[in-house]
Amino acid sequence: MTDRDLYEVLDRAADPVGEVDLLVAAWAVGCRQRRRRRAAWVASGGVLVAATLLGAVPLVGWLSGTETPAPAGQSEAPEPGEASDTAQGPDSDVRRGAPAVLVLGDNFTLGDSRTLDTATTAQVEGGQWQLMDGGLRPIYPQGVGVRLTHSAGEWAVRACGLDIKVAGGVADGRVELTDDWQILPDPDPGASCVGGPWHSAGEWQDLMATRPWVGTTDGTLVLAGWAGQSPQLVEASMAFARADEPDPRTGPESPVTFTDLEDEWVEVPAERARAALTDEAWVDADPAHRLRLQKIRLPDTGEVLSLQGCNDLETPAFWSVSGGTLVLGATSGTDMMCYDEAALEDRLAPALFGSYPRMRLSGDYLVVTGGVPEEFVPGPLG
Amino acid sequence: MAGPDIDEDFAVFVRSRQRALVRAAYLVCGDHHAAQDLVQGALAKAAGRWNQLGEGAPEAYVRRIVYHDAISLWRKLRREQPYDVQAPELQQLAGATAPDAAQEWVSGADVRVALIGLPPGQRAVLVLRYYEDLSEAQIAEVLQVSPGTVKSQAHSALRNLRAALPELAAALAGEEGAQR
Repeated sequence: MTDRDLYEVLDRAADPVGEVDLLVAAWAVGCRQRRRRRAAWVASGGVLVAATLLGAVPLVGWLSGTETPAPAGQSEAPEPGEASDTAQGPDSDVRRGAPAVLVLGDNFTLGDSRTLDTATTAQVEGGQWQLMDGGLRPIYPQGVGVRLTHSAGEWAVRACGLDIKVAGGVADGRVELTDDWQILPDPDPGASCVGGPWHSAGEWQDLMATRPWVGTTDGTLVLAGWAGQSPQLVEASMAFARADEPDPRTGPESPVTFTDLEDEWVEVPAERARAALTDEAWVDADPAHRLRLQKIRLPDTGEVLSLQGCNDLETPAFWSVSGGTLVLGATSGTDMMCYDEAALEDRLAPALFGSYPRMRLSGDYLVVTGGVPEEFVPGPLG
Repeated sequence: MAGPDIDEDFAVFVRSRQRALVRAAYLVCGDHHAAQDLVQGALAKAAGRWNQLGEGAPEAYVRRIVYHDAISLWRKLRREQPYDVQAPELQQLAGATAPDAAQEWVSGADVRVALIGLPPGQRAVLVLRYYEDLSEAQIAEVLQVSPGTVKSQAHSALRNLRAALPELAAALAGEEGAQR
């Protein structure tokens, strides 16, 4: 039997399929999806896109849902070194908590490259920054909001009812704390302070204890670390290899460039990553639905990081920080609906790529490190 | 004319490929309506980003979605409602007398029953290889598996098809041998 014969057998089996005309319906649904994606961009991701492109916003609030921070003065400020158990220090084996990115500055611009420079202590020295909102304006009225400063080798956070400081700077592109926090118990006696995002000492202690990555551009400061309790994620990595590279090799680590991301990358099974790369928590999607990753340009939305698994996922934008690439983004178009053994995948990829993961190259491998639900991480966690 | 709002290139693409795509999807998922839904869903996704896909390889994009969704759908339906034993046509076939082993010709219904008995991955590989005429490398690309997996799935698919369709056994054995 030739291939042709087998084709004819199969073709006979497909005979019940009559004429179909899917054109009008497919086009209409496609247009609706495009409009919905655009709307989702504006409604939620748009804030992040805007934040990515133009400024702004304590993004942990978006990640954490609608949690209302405790009013100023009422927050339980932990003792130094007693940051919440959901956000652990840099020496912890496993990072747990909610990935957080803060964008602070009085103005914000990112060039076409959408990149930030890795910060140094000298660059942050003398700086002061305020939290920005999704509308690219200060989140609090001028003069009464939360301000982060760095001066004379100290990080300090000041707001109505909040006055905390800690010695430190930036080392290897990450916040470095060299002493305990000093917390002034009642810095504004008698003042009627109104709480808001990042208006408690505990939040700042949590974030800074995780040694957040620090990026700067044009007077703007970006801190990317972990803080808060929801969503409860653990840090893990996913490895990718170029789709046209059948035999990826390990090698020195190096920053990811946007040119690298123009290649198509295919997810590497966790077991293989564990054998080839470092000893860290590796995760993977269902082997039958290996994720594919590539930076593409969409006519409506510009450049996005496109993820294809059992379905599509897109993150709208990203920037480079601290020698790696920090992916920022609402996972717009989160219609990654998978079934059966791939059922968990629809949570893995959005969680990882929605957690502002870092990227690095390790030889021929692209490593994406971010937060995932704990059930995806095999083996006992520290 | 495709219509006042429909991109002409998209219309040409859909009209030329929709029937073949639905037929292939039907072979993979075993349900005519589900096959249409799968293809329509994939075409809708292509429509949603046609400006980007139009100058590239839209068929590869659509095919990849169709096959992945077909396999996912099959797994879901198999768990919820095994339609291979629900379809009246197939129930009738299940009680039918086995065809004469010497008979070379097998009906489309026989093949459908045999296909439904294959695991979804094997079925997809079989359809992609022998119905869509894709190479192992192309199939690996569509299903996002290694070429080695494609080869082993194809081998298993032919073996299982041979077991399910004894009248094809000799011919399929020759087919498999010709692959080596």
